[in-house]
Amino acid sequence: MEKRHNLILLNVFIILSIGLLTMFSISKNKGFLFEKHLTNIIFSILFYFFFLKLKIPKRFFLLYYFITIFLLLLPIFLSPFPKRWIKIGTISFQPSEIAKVPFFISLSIFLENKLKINFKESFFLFLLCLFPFLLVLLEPDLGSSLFYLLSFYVLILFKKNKIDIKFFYTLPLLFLISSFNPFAFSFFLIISLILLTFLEIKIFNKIIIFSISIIVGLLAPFSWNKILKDYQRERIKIFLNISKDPKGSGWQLNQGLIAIGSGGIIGKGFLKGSQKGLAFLPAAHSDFIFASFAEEFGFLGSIFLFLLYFIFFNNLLYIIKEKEPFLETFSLLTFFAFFYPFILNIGGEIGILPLTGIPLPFLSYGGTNLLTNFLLLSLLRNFQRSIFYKW
Amino acid sequence: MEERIIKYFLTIVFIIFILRIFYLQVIKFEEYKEKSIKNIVKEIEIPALRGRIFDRNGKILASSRIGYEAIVEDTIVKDDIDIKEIINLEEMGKKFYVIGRPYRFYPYKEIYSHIIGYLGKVSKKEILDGIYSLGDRIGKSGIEKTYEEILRGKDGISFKLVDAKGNILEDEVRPSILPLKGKDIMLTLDVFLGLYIDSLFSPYKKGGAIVINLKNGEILSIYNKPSFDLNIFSGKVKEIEWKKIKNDTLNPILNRCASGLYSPGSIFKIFTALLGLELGVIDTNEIINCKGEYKFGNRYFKDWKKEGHGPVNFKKAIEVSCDVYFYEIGRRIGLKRYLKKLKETKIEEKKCFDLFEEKEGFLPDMDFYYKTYGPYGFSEGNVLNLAIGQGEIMLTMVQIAVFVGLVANEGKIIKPHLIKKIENEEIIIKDTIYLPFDKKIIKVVKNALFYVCNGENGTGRTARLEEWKVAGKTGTSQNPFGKDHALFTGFAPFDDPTFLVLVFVENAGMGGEIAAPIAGKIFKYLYKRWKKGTI
Repeated sequence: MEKRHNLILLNVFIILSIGLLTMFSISKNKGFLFEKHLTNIIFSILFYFFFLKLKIPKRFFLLYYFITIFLLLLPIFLSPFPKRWIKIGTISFQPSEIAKVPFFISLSIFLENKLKINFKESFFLFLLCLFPFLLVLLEPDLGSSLFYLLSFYVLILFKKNKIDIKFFYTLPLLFLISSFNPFAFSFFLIISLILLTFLEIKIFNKIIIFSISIIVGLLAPFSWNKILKDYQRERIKIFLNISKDPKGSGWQLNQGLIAIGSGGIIGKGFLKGSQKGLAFLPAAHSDFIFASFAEEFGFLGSIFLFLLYFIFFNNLLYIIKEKEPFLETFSLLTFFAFFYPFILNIGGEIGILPLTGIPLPFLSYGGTNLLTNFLLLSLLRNFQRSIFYKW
Repeated sequence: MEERIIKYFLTIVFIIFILRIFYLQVIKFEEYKEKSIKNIVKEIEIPALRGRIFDRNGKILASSRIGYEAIVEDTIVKDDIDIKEIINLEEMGKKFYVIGRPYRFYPYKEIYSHIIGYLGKVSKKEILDGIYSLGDRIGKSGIEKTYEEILRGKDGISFKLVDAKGNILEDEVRPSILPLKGKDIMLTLDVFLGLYIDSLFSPYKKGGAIVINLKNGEILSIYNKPSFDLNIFSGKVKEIEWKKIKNDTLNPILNRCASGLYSPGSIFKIFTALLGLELGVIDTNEIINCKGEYKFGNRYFKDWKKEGHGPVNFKKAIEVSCDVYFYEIGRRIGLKRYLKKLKETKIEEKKCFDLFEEKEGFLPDMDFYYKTYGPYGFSEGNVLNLAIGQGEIMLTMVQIAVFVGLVANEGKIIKPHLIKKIENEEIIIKDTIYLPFDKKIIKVVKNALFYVCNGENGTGRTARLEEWKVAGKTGTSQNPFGKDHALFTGFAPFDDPTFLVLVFVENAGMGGEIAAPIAGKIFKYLYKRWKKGTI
């Protein structure tokens, strides 16, 4: 068990080294990126070991929840637009990142004694996730905020819950997404009707689920026009057709694709990437770190990096297998906390998902993100030990 | 917990990512590689040096001076700037790069501007055609336009390393494609002659002069007054000066010799004489008594000399430019025959090989008279006006000059042209223009023209020279808008016509009084140069 955590740590260190190499290559034009990143790493590792020994009380979920909310409220009150960051002295950090830690603990405590949650509890859980979602949305940061809402879905779908509860929350979401395309909408409509007919769900529940889904699906176009920010709409739109806007977000994506594609099989070689070096690649150290790496190390390098991440996620899955209720929730959320940004970041850079600006775990530059990731790994180890040694 | 689903999901995501990466980095590699190179290498054009234009003596009529332009993101923000302005831009912290561009320079400013022509910026369409790039100048008029393809050369390209913002990081990533200089052109024009004519025209506001070498069709001068300084159009167009030219009521932009249409006046009596002889309606010895007016039907047609010329024969009629004599010949020829031959002569067609914006003249025909005056609105009387060159016929000065030249050269001349050499290669034009009259008849008329300048009462006596036999014909072109235009066309030496000179002065009066003296001075000048062998 300890061996698994050490493997994870080793894995993380290799990814971190790759990140540092890439950062060094980018640093040619960008000053002290490499040094700062190295400092962040050392600082985060210290926290990792500090939190490993810390005894975390597994009670008062509301207390943890309020800490979460407090952290998320900070940027709204303290910093000017954009509100993703706050500054204390010379240190600036992103509360929406760090807030994940108390949020996970809070939810894990809340779900500790509920093997299969009933509808009332599930709705309460939904509200617990909805509130942070709305707060981060205010910053405004769609990509990060969705993480909180999707955490709820992760818990509902991947824990052993009743099928009608799963349906109740997922179907409206599917309708919502598909409502922008009449064909997709009709497709989901038919599929859901068939599923609802044959699955063992009470008739009453079936009707409720179905009618809510329809209502949500019809309201969606309204929310598209009124709630989303212009740049968010633009980003999504541009994703759908990248060539329309060569100097905006589409331009960034194009430059990213050029960086990746021009790497070829073996890459241009360390320090030889032209895209990021000449500033064609915006945010080469954060949003487009993978593109910077892939340009210099090519397809083989990318495969190696993917392999590292694949092993990393598989190792996390082993911990999820532990049947202890608290750890189950916490590890599931932690897995998601790494997997979600991984999909969005890489998917965005290679042009199959919209660009969100979410950093790639352990590879991108970013102190708060790194610290949060290390804290999560540390607590995961901490909680697993506490079960094992029955602290 | 449903880890198995998560594991499937995880695997699917990785497979998709790897397939996509494979697509980007392996399948699409070449395409992206090219894009990445294009990204960082900026192609900056090196404008080609335009060929120079020389006059026949090797004097530069158009060459190039170096200027600079500042470019920001593929747009020229400042045109034709000097070093001082570049430093100013730099101090303002603007991001730009500068390329050197040759701009036209015309040392003789106003002399022959209409013939040399000016350049303008290329239009978007011309850029799309692929030969030109942004900021290039293209010939818009004159020789600059006619010989654009020879003069322009070919732009080169330099390859520079740039970053995303277009900042140039390294000067040359690979060797530049050097520009090809355009070819030099030598014209038949003589700039000294132009300057001399300009001095002769100083008392007058509007007019022009044409000098053609009848032996080889070389145009030695097409002088227009008023003219304009070509340098105004070079590089940054000087707005104030340009407006001044545009709003000038004297219309300096007009190439009077090539594009202005005029009534030929008495010079056209030459045609009437030719036709009269051809049809046999006159005998050169026949004497017609001129009393100062001519009765046709119940109308009286006046002679320019109120008291009349008395009895005149063919030779004398041309010498004194007797209107009455030609009224009679015109009547004998008749309108239909007159118009038919007029058409056959093709006198109104473009005459020159490479003269920009040469206009076609206007000749009336029967249809024209029907349409303008109705079937009963015109009569045989109209031919009387045509016969003395005051009818509806409108010609350019070039056409008038060529017509007289054809008579002087007894029926054919080489097409007048401006091009003499391209680089060092002599250009010989062999196209010939003919006058559809019998050589004998032309000779008779040509002989009479000698007396215009040398006869006792010749209207063109003021063009006479002691040292050279000059012949020609005066003309007074009626002008409905003001004072008549004075006209003279002559040639010398009479026995072996070499130079044809046409002089016209607008709103100045009689051809013999105003235009012929100028022509005389031009002949004198030509004679001196000709003796020395410098022309």
